[in-house]
Amino acid sequence: MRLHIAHGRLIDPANGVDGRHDLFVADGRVVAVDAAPDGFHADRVLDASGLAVLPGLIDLSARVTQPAAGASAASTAFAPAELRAALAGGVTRLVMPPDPDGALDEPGKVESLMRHTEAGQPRIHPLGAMTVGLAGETLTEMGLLARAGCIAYAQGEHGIADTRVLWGAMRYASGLGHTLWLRPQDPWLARGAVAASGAYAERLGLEGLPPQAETVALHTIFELQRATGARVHLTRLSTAAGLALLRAAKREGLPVTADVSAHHLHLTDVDIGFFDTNFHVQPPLRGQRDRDAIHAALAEGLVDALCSDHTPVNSQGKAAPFPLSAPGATALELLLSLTLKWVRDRRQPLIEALARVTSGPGAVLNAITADAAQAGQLGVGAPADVCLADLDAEWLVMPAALQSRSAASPFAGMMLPGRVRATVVGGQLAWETSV
Amino acid sequence: MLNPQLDRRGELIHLLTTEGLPRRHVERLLDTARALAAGEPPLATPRPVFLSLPADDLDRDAYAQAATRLSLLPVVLDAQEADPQAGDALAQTVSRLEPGVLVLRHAASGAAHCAAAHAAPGLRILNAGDGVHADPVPALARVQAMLDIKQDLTHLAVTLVGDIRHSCVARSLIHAMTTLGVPDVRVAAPRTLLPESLPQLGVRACATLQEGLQDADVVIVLPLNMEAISGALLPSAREYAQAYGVTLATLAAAKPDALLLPSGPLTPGVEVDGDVAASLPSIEAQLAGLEQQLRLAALSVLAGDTP
Repeated sequence: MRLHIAHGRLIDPANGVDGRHDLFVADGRVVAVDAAPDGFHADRVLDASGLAVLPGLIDLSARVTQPAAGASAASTAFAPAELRAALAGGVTRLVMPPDPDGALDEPGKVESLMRHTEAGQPRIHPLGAMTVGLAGETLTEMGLLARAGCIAYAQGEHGIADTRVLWGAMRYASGLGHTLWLRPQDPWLARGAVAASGAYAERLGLEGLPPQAETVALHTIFELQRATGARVHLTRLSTAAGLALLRAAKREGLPVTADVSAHHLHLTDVDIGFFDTNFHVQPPLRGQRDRDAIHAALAEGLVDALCSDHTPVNSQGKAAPFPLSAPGATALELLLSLTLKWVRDRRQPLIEALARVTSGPGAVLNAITADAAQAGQLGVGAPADVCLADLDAEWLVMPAALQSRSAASPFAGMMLPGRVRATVVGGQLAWETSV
Repeated sequence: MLNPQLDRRGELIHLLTTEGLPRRHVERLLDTARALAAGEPPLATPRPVFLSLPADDLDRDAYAQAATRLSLLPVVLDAQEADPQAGDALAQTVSRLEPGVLVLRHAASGAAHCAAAHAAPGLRILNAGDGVHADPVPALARVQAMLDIKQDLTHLAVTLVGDIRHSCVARSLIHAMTTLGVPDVRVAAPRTLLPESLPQLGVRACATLQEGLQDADVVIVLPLNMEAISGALLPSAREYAQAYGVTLATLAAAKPDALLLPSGPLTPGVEVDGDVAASLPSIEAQLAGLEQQLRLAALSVLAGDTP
């Protein structure tokens, strides 16, 4: 399909573009900006008057398989509702962390899952399991998993207890030129924790996760990186102290990138209020100083990307006492709005903020997989993944009206800025709303 | 953010915690307990009082007796109906109960708030202990004992000794005391058994038992449940007793008329020595009576407010 996206405000952070420009798309790629190439005849003209034309958003952490309650390792499949949620949120490319109930720990599982990818869906980059069954003992066949489609290797939410296995994983991955995708958390310090340690958790009688759970793990990861040279992406950093360690590691030149979640950019532990399980996420929401540090690190580019940490949880999972409730929240459809809320609340330059959900994560992926070349930008030759959004719209987050099957969101009932009007993936119009 | 134990008019609809409980409601519960002890007539309208407490818990019988005395109808919920580990089982259970009062003891902090959030219309929740979060009734009974014996709380120095971190009664007691204006609340315990947020709770941590007891008007001793405490937090009861066991000698640092209140069953030789333990039966009996009065008061207030 040949598309002409006309009259829009093109914002392309990677190329420093923010202005009125038309976009011309053919064969799934951007073929021209401003002036149509010779002989170009559009099959469809999208009138983007009053809309921003952005690179499709890239989400470095979104779970889009069937919710765990109804899935088994053998039947892991994409959940259509979550893929629609991605498109409704303008997300055209996402990284899928391992599902503890169906971790991709052998090539057949990856091939089976990736057979279900179709045109018009967001582009999905699965993370393979770093160890078999995420048990933290035996390394997976990283080379074969990569051939099947995995872009990096992760250990899930609980970290890795055996440092020797992590050391081995780093040496092995480094030898193959692969990347580890780690959420830094010491599993022993995290045992039983459901809230960030501190005054609020103590008042509620909730077991607290100390910031040292993150910093101890980071010290280990960085030390092993020095020894092995392995490339690591750190996902969902949550503490000021952890970000300070990241700064030192980057300054030292370690091959490391990082993301933070939109929940941690906007919320703190006191938002849990009276045990509101919609605020039960992993890692737990932390304090004001941590949130300020996350904002500062994201603003200066120390952190490469803002992710949604989309984790669908059904209503049964949330209708439980806080420590027994399932952690997670639906967020794919909110990622653009939460980015714009950051722009508004913290007076961030719009183009810089949008870079954290487009070119920033695009660069992270581009460095580790050839499938993500020119991801997150709209220069000539780039994949035609586009998000058309009304940046001035305000909307009320009503969980029942979201595409995701999960209604759990800490932002439910809140007015948020920005609304996606259309999403284009690979030159195909994949989502469109007339509202 | 609305306080879930109050309705929009600020009236008490659930008793979940003493934190954020307005002073007038604390005083109303204490006054109602006194009035019921003096022989006030029981309620006329019979409503069910659902009891979700472990079968071997003596408090279940105590609540059943209190309900009967108020002409309410005690109904024991079997364990299956309130399986503490089964995800949304609690929410399912409370959403099906008829109007009345649910007395709930649960292993998870926040369970009472969860029950209140999912309660069927007209069902009131009385928190009889949720994890280590809150247990208002025994806490209020100890406040009542202080009032009965010391009359005025606003000049007292009160010291809690023991495992504050894992004590729902201690948290509720601290909130109730600070609400009623106790000016000096201190705690003494090994550092691993203290919450991190003591200053925010209006509480001062003391480095030693001696410092904690110095000139104290009231000493509240918390039971030590070694089975519930990780070995990473405390090596042994023997070690604890050596540093924090309350003895007649350590009590000499407190005021001569200091009131010693156990916050639960104490083991001679651990939290207190044998001599101190020998002095406890009379105050324990008094506290048992006050707790029963507070159970009556809480049931009466909650059932009375039921539409």
